[in-house]
Amino acid sequence: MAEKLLTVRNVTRQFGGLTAVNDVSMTIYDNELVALIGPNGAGKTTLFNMLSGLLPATSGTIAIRHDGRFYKVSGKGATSVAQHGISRTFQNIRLFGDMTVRENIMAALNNQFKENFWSTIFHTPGYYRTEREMNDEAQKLIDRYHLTAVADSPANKLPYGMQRRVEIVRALATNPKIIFLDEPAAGMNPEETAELTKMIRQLRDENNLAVLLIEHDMSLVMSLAERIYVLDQGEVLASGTPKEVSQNPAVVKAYLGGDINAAG
Amino acid sequence: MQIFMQQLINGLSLGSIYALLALGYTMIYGIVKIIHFAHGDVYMLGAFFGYYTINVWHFNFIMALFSSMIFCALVGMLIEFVAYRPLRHSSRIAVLITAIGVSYFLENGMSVLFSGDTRDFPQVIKQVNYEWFGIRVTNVQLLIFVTTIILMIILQLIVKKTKMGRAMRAAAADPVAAELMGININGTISFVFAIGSAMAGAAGVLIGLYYNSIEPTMGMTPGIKSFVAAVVGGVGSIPGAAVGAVIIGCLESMMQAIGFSAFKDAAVYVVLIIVLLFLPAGLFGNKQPEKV
Amino acid sequence: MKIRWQTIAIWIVCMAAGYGIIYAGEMTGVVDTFIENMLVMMGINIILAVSLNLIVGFSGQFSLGHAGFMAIGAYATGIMTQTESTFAGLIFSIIAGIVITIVVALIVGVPTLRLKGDYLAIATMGAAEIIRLTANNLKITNGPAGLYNIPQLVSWPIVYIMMCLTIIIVANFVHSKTGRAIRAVRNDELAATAMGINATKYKLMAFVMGGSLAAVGGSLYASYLQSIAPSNFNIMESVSILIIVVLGGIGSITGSVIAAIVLGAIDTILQNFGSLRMVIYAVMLIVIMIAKPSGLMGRCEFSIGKWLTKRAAKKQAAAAES
Repeated sequence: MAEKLLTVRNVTRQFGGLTAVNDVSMTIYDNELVALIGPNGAGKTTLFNMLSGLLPATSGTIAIRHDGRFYKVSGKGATSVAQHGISRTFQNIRLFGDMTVRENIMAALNNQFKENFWSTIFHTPGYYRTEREMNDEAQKLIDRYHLTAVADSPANKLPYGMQRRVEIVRALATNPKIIFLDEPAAGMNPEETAELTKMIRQLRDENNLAVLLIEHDMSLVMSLAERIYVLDQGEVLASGTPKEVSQNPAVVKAYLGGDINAAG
Repeated sequence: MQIFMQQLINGLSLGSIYALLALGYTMIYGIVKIIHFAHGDVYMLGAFFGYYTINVWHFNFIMALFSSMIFCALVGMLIEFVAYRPLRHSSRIAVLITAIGVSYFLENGMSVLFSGDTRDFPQVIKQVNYEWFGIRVTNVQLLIFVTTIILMIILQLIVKKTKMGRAMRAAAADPVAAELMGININGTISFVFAIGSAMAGAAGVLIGLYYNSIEPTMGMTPGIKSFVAAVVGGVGSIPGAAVGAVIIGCLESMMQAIGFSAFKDAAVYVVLIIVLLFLPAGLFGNKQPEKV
Repeated sequence: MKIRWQTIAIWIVCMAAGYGIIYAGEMTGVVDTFIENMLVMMGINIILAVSLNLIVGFSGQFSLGHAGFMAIGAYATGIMTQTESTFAGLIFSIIAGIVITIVVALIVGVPTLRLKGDYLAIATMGAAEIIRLTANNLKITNGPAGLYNIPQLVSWPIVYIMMCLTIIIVANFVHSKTGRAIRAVRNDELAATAMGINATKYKLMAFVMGGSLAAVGGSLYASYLQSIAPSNFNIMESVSILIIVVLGGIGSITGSVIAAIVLGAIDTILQNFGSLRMVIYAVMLIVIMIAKPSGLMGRCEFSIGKWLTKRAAKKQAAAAES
């Protein structure tokens, strides 16, 4: 029986008079692949931003299991959240543009290695050792996810699909228990989307990770997701397996608009 | 109480001058996001132009004021065209350095041409003191208040009621969209520089009358203080600039009155830092949160 | 591994060569007091520019208050070496300057580094002015007249060595795990935070490190020139240092070094033009900025390590072909 990883209880977010997210509750289990779908403006990214600590919730609690205990995420800043096993990508790719792919990944490895002040400024053997270890760790990720060819190119010079791939690998480098992917397939053609699907599956299988993704591309969602939450106007409209959700009349009416095979 | 009121009057005079400068800074920053470092030097040029026209061509006050404003408007537009426009798409620091270059050029150019000596500004208006309830107000101070208020009202009218004013506000909010809507960005920016510089010119003539002396580096400290005033009020906000300037002006007067004149400059910076800490966008500014 | 030692060897040789050239110049009289002055000021400006580049270029924090940190170091040395005018006294004063600077940088940095862009610029400018105006009004600093007859405990070799040390420290700092975190924060603070990097901590590190090095520069300044006044550390001084950084290329240590040397030389040459000097300087500045806004080196760095690696790779490729 899989363990609970992330619990979201009655989370609400208000912006002045506007309620963007209304009393949303979700549970994500270890190693699950869950999708969050819904029309534009349904509150999905707002929810993501709260889950990753970039936005405080107006009310409700979010907790993640870390080192065996549940740690309250709501109300903590993004840095702290990231240090407790949550990582993410962004709707508009946010890579460290001036830095190479390798440096992007090594930056994400920051918290897993220690470097003391003197070895930093005088490049003692300790510095070289740390650098080698970080580089080895980064190289493993680069090779495993087919980034070897572009490893030393500046991130902002890469083609769009490659940038997305790098962003996901960078998020992986923080050694999280769950990764949030915000519309990873946005702007991709069918081939790129197919490759992305393969990559996400590889990601989840090889790393004992849970994945929560926001997506509009229904083919991606239906082929990847084990469970789906449907959000509409800030509320959870339905949840369940892809089959259950696609047959839920309320969902069909509000979002899928009829035949799921016609979408995507 | 009397001393307080007296200092308030003095502070308002100083604040009015700062307001005229701060308005220029805030409008320019609002539309092109540049700290127009040379703005204080445009003010200095206004003072010198007034000096010249009164001494050599025997202009009266009104004509000196107007001609100075026109002259400075032209100077401001020239600076924008030559120094800022080529860098419109470069880093902000590059523009700042260029602005500093322009400032150095104007200050030192004037020093070379007219020597760095302080000159006496001609007293075209004979000073008359009025006394109301023991508080002394000079006619020059009244002139400063009135001129400043009139100019500010004209500015508000332009910004709120005219097509150009609408263009200014649109360009400040979103230059790309404004251009796509058919607004002539270059023309609008030139216009903003013209108005801001004209007001700086007016300030120059007024301060010449008020303090009686001018010299080529007179623009630096008031320039910085006015910029601080604009930031305190919220950069990009016209009422904010005016309020900020009055606060700074009164603060300076008060500090001088209570005997801490050595610290009056430091006090301005302390206020700046305190305001920025608690109201990062200034009193009337609005912080645009980053969209994720 | 071999490249590492080769790189270090080349650096040592270059630095020793530089030292040797100046030494020879001094011995033969080619380098007279005037030229020595110019060289020492260049060295101090390199220290100031490279440390500012750490804050502005690598950490992306627009600081207009560098002269404030310089003032702290200068006055620490100026005051302390007057009572303890030995070399040990100088070292103590430098350390004292650094300690005070760390405290001040933390006090100024924690609240202001949240601000963005131009707001940060004037906040730091304001902070530096407050420091300067404090020096202007305290008895211990002798007010506006400043300190004079500070014992000259600093000679050109000391400045040269400190300059080399500064370059090494900043270059090492940038090419490290910490440096990567700092650059990540500059590139995209939000994303860096989401990857678990504490943005405030790293911005502060760069700010404190840069400020401390500037304090060292100030200490050397005070001890070499033997007199300082608050007017030496005004906004224009902060601006001058920023000009060196921008002209050289924001984010390029090599650029800062080159720009400091070039501007120092130009400044000396222009001495002959009297009051026209600043006008020519101003026009030059405007022209250069419009022509190449990213500075002489842009973001490029001259790296011996990289050059050697490329050479080795070429050799390997050539060997593989034959």
